[in-house]
Amino acid sequence: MIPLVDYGFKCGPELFFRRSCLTGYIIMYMAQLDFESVYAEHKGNVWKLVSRYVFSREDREDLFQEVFLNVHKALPRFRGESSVGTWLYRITANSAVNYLKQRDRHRQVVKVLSSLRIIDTEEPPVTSETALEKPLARLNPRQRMIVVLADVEEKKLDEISELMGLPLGTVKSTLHRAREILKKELIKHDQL
Amino acid sequence: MISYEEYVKKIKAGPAPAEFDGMYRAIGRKIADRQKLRAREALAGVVAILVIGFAAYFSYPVLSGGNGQLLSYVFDQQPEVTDGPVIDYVFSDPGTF
Repeated sequence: MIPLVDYGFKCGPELFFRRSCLTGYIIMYMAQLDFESVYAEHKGNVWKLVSRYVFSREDREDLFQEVFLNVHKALPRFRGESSVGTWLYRITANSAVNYLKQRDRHRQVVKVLSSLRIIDTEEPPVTSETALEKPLARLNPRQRMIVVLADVEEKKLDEISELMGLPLGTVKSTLHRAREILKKELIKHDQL
Repeated sequence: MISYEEYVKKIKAGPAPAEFDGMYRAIGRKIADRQKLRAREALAGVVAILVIGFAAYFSYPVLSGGNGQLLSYVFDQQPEVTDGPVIDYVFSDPGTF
């Protein structure tokens, strides 16, 4: 059972039966239903995008949960200006970019610490799925998301521009640059 | 070497099956943890404000009314003590009032 969405709404037991309090609780209850229905309806699409952006099981599950934590947080502010699907896509894209930035920072720290022999680390086993990530790993998180949205998800450039809150020109140039990098990387990774 | 188009096809190939129920429970736990953390932070904030408030109240005479001792001294004086040439001078000085 997911805890209720926090609207910053508080009512003591003595005020519970007042109309304003009841309305507040009804809104909270509806929001909870909303979260459940959003999860039930869109979990597949979110998982699909997440799985095309990161490739290890652990990353996918972490990112998927992060997306829905952000959805839970943002749900009270959702005003229905776009469809739930588009809104969710935007949250997923932004969460994914932030997730990868954090993960890369974390990995750099771990690398430094292990090179100083402060901690011991084990390299994760390379699977066919994680091997797919290697060429993409050369891109920065934003380039990677734009490539995934444009070429894997087949979104139009103006949609990507709207989803990521970037000017169309920036999306075009980033995509062009990212494709160039990926093509060069694919020459190096012939075991894919 | 594979072409860019083949690489994209491989990525598209289909996501691994997901354990949605397990992840839903994990999300619920994380949300509950965040809400507990937020409540603890709010409580810690209130405690900190109270501690700082008490410390300030007892450390500064102005806040605790400590200057009341000074004022009560002034008001407790007999009129003949307070009425004198100095007070007369103060009230009669046009530059003061």
